[in-house]
Amino acid sequence: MNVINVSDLRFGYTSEAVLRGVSLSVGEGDSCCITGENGSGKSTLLKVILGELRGFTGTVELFGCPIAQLRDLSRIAYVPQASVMNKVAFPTTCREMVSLGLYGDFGFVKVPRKRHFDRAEAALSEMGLGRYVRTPFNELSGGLQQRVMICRALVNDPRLLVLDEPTAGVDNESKVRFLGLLEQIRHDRNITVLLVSHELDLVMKHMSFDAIYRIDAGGICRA
Amino acid sequence: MLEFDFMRRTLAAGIMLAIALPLIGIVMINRKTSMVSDALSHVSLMGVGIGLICGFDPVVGAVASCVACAFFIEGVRARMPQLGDMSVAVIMSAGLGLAVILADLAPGGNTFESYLFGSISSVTLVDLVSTAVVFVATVAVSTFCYAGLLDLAVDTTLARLTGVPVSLVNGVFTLLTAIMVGLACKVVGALLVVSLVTLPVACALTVSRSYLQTCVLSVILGVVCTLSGLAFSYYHDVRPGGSIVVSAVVLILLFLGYAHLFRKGKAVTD
Repeated sequence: MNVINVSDLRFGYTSEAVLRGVSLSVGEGDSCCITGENGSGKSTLLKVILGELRGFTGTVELFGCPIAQLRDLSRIAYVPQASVMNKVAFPTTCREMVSLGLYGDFGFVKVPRKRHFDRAEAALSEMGLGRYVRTPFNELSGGLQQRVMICRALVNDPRLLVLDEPTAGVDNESKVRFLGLLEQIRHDRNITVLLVSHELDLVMKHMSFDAIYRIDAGGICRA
Repeated sequence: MLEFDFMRRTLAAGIMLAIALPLIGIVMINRKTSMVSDALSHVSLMGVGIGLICGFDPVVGAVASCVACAFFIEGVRARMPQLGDMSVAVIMSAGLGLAVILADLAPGGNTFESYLFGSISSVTLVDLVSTAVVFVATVAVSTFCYAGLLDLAVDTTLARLTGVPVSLVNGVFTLLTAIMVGLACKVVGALLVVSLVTLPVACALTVSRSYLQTCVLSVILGVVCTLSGLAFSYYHDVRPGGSIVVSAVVLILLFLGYAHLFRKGKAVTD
């Protein structure tokens, strides 16, 4: 069964289509990269796949279920752009941030408890971030923030990991480290990965993919 | 000062507002929407004017106008995020413009003025009960939706995929914010409500190292500046809104001084 199945997708913010006849599929345990120039529609495609944008024509299915009808989102983990996380200006510790990934386990009162913090701390330690458990997330460098976000994404054992330009705006050393970590996670956990990045050369150097798609002017082709 | 009924009512209402408004403020500041509370406080004056002219409780008018405008702003922000700021400015201007006209038409200039800067003696039993109800609701929502509100401040997409019912949490929070701001205009004063929403949180943000710490410290500081402000207002016969805000400003200066002297902000790298 395909984890992601997009068929003949057409979407536009206005009457003009941003995505035209887009089709792609990603199998269980596969890794897929979507690349393209800035403004080509990569992030729009990602938003449609994640159910953020409605009003499209065609088929978008996750785990065999149309995205509009998918209720159990716990199998999907998402890492936003580094620039989004840079905007978190308020103090929240790394363990608070990671424990939010366990939201579905909080019970009726949505407050993280000791067992959630324990799991968050274990996830951070596993990722080599044990010493930042109580460090405010907003005091970390961009590279560290993205590694914490990977921890958060994985703390709930998802089946699909979606990353939107995770290395954009991060220094080169951190990019390399992050991509190496991602490749290791993919191998160790056999998790399906969908990565959106405009830095194909860099990404290819540090990760292997089962499929690479290029978006250009709203259309998609296999690279 | 506790020997007077009116003072006990004012203090009780003040404490509830001092706890609830910073709880709302934390979320608003984290989401960078604190000016929404300012816009709503201006709009509440329009409701006060309508209430005074039509002969019903001005607080009801304030709350109703705040609720309507809060959902309008949220609606614009959700559909056209790039116009979110503009909708806040439009609502604030429209609310204040109408309030100025209504103030001229409303009977008893002093009554209207008391809603501008707050009044220590005008809190009725009905005000107290309605404040208590919304206070309990605000504390309950802040607790039950603690993680959801934090996650929404981080990123909406992330929150939705984590399982946060984004529309529901946003809706409930918007409703409570509007009601609380509308109610607060009587004690704190419409022009000064935003101070109690933001200043205690701003103080807490200068020294806090976690979200939980920020929440607890904001509430404590809110209560401290409200109680000291109300006491100052009683003993020196000045408007409570002004004295509450001045005590909050003194606190923030102290906290900024502390942060400047003892806190070195630098990015942690690996």
